[in-house]
Order: sequence, then C-alpha cells, then structure tokens
Amino acid sequence: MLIVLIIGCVLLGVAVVFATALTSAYAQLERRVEHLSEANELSVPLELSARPTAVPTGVGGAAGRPAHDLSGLTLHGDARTIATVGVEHTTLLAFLSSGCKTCGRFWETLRNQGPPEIGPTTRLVVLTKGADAESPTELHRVADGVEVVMTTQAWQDFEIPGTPFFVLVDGPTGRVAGEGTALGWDEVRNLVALGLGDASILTGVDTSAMKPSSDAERETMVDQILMDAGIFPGDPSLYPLDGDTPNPEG
Amino acid sequence: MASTLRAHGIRAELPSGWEGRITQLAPSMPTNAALRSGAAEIPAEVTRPFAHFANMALPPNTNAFGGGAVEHLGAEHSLICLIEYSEECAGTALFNKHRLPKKLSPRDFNRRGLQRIIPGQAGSQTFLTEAGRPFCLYVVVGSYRRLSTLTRQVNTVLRGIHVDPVTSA
Repeated sequence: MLIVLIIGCVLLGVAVVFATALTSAYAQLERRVEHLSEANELSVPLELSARPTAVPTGVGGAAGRPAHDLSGLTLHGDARTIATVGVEHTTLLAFLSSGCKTCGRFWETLRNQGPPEIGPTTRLVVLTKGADAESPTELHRVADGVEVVMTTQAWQDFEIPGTPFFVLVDGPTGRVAGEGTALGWDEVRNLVALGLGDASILTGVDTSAMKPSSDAERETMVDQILMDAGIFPGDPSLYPLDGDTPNPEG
Repeated sequence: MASTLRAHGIRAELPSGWEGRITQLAPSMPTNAALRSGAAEIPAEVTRPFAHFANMALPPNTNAFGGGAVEHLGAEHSLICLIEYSEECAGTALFNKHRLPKKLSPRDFNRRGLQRIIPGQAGSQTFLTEAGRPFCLYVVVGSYRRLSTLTRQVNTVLRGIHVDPVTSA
C-alpha cells in the first residue's frame, strides 16, 4: 500500500513539473508573438523553421504554404516580375528595409562583397516595400549596386512580420520551404541549408560527384537529420575530444 | 497567367515560370571632353525602353539584346527581347511589318541569327512597327533541337504582349 502511495506521489510530482514547464513555454511563446505584433523590426532572431511542414512557425504562417511570384519596381524605376513558382531553382527572398538597424549589416555585405554563397541552385532576391512605405533616396544609399525589387504586395502575400525576414521558396513545388529572421548572412545560409537539406552550402564542399549515388543520398539524409537537430557543420559535438578517440587496438 | 508587367507603354501577361523586366536607361551625361571641345550645344541623349522576358532567372544587368543573359540559357530556356527604336524609324522599309508577331514558326529561327553565336542556341529577329512605335523583336532559344517546344512556349508569351501608342514625346 505504501509503495503504491509513493509511486502515486512520484507520478503526481512528474505531472506537476510537466504541466509547469508546458505553461511556462506557452507563456513565453505568447510573449514572443505579442512582441512581434508590436514591433515592426525583429531585433531578436526567431527560430528558423526547417522542412516543409504544416506546423505554424509563429510568424508569417506556416512553411509548406503556397508561394507567390513577385511584381514591383527596381530602384531605377524598371518594372520587374520575378518567377518563384514553377521554376527549377529555389529562391531565397530577403525582406529588408532601409531603416532597420539589423538590416544594415545585410546591406553592407551585399554592397561590399556581393551576394552571399547560398549554393548553385538558389537565387537571392532582395525585396523592400514600395515607395509608399520606403524612402527611395535612403535605399539608393544603402543598396548601391544591389538589385532590389520594391514591392509592398510581396509583404502582404508572404505575411512578413518585420525586417529582416527571409523566405525560402521551392520552385518546383511552388511552396515555402523555410522562413525566419536572422542577425547575419551565416544564419541565413543555415536556413537555406536546412530548407534544402544540403550542408555543402555551409561547407562549400560538394561531395556528391565524388561518391556513388547511394552514399550521396545517405550523406544528404544524415546532414538533414543533424541540421534538423540544430547541429550544423563545424559543431563541436561532431568532433570527438582527444580523450574520446577510440583506440583501434581496443 | 502568373504575373503582369507594365511600364513605358508596354504590357505583358506572363505565364507561370516566366519573368520579365521593362527598362529605360537614364540618358548619359555629356563627357567633360565633349564639353571642353567647345560645342555650343550638346543635344541630350534620348533613350528608349526595352523589355526582357525569360523562363529563367534574368541577371540584373542584361543588355538590350540579351547580353549577360544568353550565356546562362539552358536547353529548356528562351529569352524574348523587345527593343524600341526612335520614332523616325516607324514605318520605314526595315520596320514595315505592322504588327508585333503573336506567333513565330520554328522556321523563323536560325543558329546564326544570333547577336552572339553560342553553340546549340538559335535566334529570330523581326523588325516591326506596332501602335506607331518601331521595335525589334529578338528571340533566343536555348536549344535548336528543342525548337518546336520552345517556339510554342515563346508564342504563349508573345500573345500576352501589348504595346500602347506613344502619348508623350
């Protein structure tokens, strides 16, 4: 009888801890969403959503939802449409603004170093709101030499909560493959690698041509599993400490 | 239709997978040397619009006749360039075709009919006057072997291009 009582108490204790943790996590999530709806600029990077999924990311709807083609004006007044749906490649949409402080470092890299390396099958498109909500003069200053499409419509189509924000569109399926905010291009590259399941975007080493297709497929699968778990190339956990090195002689 | 593009009196309704750009370059300023040469008055340069439509990612600095883009054309890609000329050309012998073609034939393409010869590609060039405005329609397909399929795709886009008459100088 005493044993049953003890087990009951333990189970009750576990249940209380679990419920507390759940309530706390929910409250935290709620605070975060409130913060997002209040502030146009995202100063804190959100978690990057990974694979196409029906699970909401908390911002901008859910990955897996339909994408849209883009239509707007360039900084020089050219009319521009960009196809993101029904194309072979993936498109990374970078939603930036001239006024947001975090966007400054993205503009600076684009101006000084050109587009970041995001893999041969991914195209970068930089978007700002239209002239109704942006300062073309300021944009000319920060985006000097960068092709920018000004389109408020894209903000509405993709339900962008603030800047900077990045959306990865899978061209063949015409669906959003990943989205989120970031503090720098490295984090954006993580988003692309996650969305495509391709760690070579981060390492710069394309091993697919060196290996039989089954090896390459297995490697892609392992990369994807690791990245889904938040382990990217270079993560210390991938490398054994000196003391952990297995002894071949047992 | 996936998207509509409109500027400078040119409108295009593009099918899914196609994108476009309608540009008019800013007039260039006279050089200091020209100013120093003593010319009393240097006439301002007049630029005309040009448009590009392609079923591939159009590079940012594509030239009027597709330079910068044709190098990236794959076997399944096509590039359509519509370049406006100055109004005095309208209706002249070269521009005496009085409609923008809505249908090209594979026979209109030639492997040597290219601004820049790239093996495997083929081009078609038509001079015309539409709505009183003189144009050159220049089309490049990525693969001569796939000409029938690519021409059909190009014709779908051509049917969606409309030119308005000039309303101002």
